[in-house]
Amino acid sequence: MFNRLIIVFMLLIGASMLLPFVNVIAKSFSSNAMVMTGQVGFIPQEFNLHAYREVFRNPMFMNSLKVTIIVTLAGTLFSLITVTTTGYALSRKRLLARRTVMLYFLVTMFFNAGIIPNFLNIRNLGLYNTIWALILPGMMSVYYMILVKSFFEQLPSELEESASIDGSNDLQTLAFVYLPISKPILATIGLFAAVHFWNIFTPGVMYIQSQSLFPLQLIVQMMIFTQSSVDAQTMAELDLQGTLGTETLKMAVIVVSTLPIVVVYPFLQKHFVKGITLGAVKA
Amino acid sequence: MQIKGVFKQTGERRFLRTLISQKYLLLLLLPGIAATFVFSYLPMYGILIAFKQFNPLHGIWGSKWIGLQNFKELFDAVLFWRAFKNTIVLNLYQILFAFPGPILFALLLNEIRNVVFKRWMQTVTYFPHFLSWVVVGGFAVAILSPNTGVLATITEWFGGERYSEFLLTDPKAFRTILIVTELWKNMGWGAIIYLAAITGVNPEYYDAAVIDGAGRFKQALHVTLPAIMPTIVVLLVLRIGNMMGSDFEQIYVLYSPNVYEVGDVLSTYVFRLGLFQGKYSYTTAVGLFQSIIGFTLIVLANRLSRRAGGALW
Repeated sequence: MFNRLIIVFMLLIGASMLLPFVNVIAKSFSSNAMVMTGQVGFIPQEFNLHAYREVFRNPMFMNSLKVTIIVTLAGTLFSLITVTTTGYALSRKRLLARRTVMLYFLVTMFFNAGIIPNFLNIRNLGLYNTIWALILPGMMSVYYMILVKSFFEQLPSELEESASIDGSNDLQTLAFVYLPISKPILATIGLFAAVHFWNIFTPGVMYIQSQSLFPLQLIVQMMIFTQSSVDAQTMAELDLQGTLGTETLKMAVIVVSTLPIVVVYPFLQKHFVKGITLGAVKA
Repeated sequence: MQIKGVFKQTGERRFLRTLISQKYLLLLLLPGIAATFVFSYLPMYGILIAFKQFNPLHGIWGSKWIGLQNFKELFDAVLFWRAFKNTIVLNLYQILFAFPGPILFALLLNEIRNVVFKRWMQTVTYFPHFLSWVVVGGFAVAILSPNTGVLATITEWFGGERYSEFLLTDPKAFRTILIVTELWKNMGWGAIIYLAAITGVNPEYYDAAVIDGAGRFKQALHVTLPAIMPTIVVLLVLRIGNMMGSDFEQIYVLYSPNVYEVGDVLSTYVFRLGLFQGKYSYTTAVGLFQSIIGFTLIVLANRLSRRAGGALW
């Protein structure tokens, strides 16, 4: 009895996770008329690709797609480099002032200077309204660093010992001995970082003024929520084809911006559960 | 080298030697330390403007010092207190309704015998975590849209009228929407850490419970739950510490002027007044207020949690 209850309950939960997707996808492939009269449930009505055509024809959308792709690639790269080097160094128990350095990083997990000080900082650094404002601040994630550090700590110490006996210095040990066998954790962190950068929104609102640098999620927000922080002129430019406000377009935008994550997700799943449970329980 | 040996004490020499022998290791630390310094520590200097009348032309250093005046303005502002009240209320709701979600889900997930089904459930429920709040907001709009949303269709099925109010702009429904979307997005993912804790429970406890005649429900209640209580407490303490400002993106995406009276929290209030109205000093003072209260909360919560048997430190 208990068993059957659980299965039913689980199926309900699973359905509630999936059905909104199905609904949105169905609407995106339907005709606007059918959507507006609420006739679209889980199956497209009057199947057509108009909405998608409009999406790919919209210059602001396509430009923000380009911006986000660049930010994701660069951000993931920098993130991996920073997090791996720091995580490796901190995993060495002999590290000078190890505990102090750990504290230095941990403190930042609890203390945030605040929205305005961060904003002023970016301005003072001359990064305001540049693509770097989207890439650099999120680069060093202490959380990811701790995961990497835990991973390295779990590897047998003989690796390092035999490498140093062979005359390898720390840089070489990291590059030629540890990195080649770190593929699982690097894949995990890389995918997490990629998803993080793909999804950035708040830094876009805070640090970017030029439309040409708006990240994808910002454009998505502007296209879906009709009352947003955007002025009328920008809305007019966004709405070049006059198709904005059509439900099907909004749905297509959601689908397109979510697609990469859907594609990447199976690979993510393969790696992360192990990595997260190991690292998280330790932390 | 020899002269150095004469004047330096052993401690300093050992330090220097370690420094040199570990030079590459320390080099590896450089990117992380630099990035953290520039983007996490440097902004802290800007907190000073909470005590100043910030003038962008004069910069942080050159602006006039006005002491606690910004804080006085803060305590007099009706909108501030509204934001403060909303922050507390929303967070309490979240802790009451959204925090237990992952725990219960983990417990239920643990009861599933079929490994394949269990894995499928995990796959499906982990996914929403990776979407941005913008997209989740988009789903919310798709469902709640007046006349076109699924909600409207459902109410029609049940014989009522096509629901024509936009629930998202209704102050009475806003809090519920926030909690439901939070659960939708994070319940699965949040369960991971509890699942990990559950796998660490000593099977002998379960055997003992079975001997005592406990069915699966009682086992979950009296063995599993107490066993993961330390994990729950730690996460609860962390959650309480986050009360003052963690919810920005979710609320910012979903809110609108109609729901400010219940939905405007400290982080959105600071964002609007600071970034869009340019009241830099004032909002930094609010931000400082947030940090201090947040810190106090986490210390208090941790102290209380010691009594419950598991604390952060």
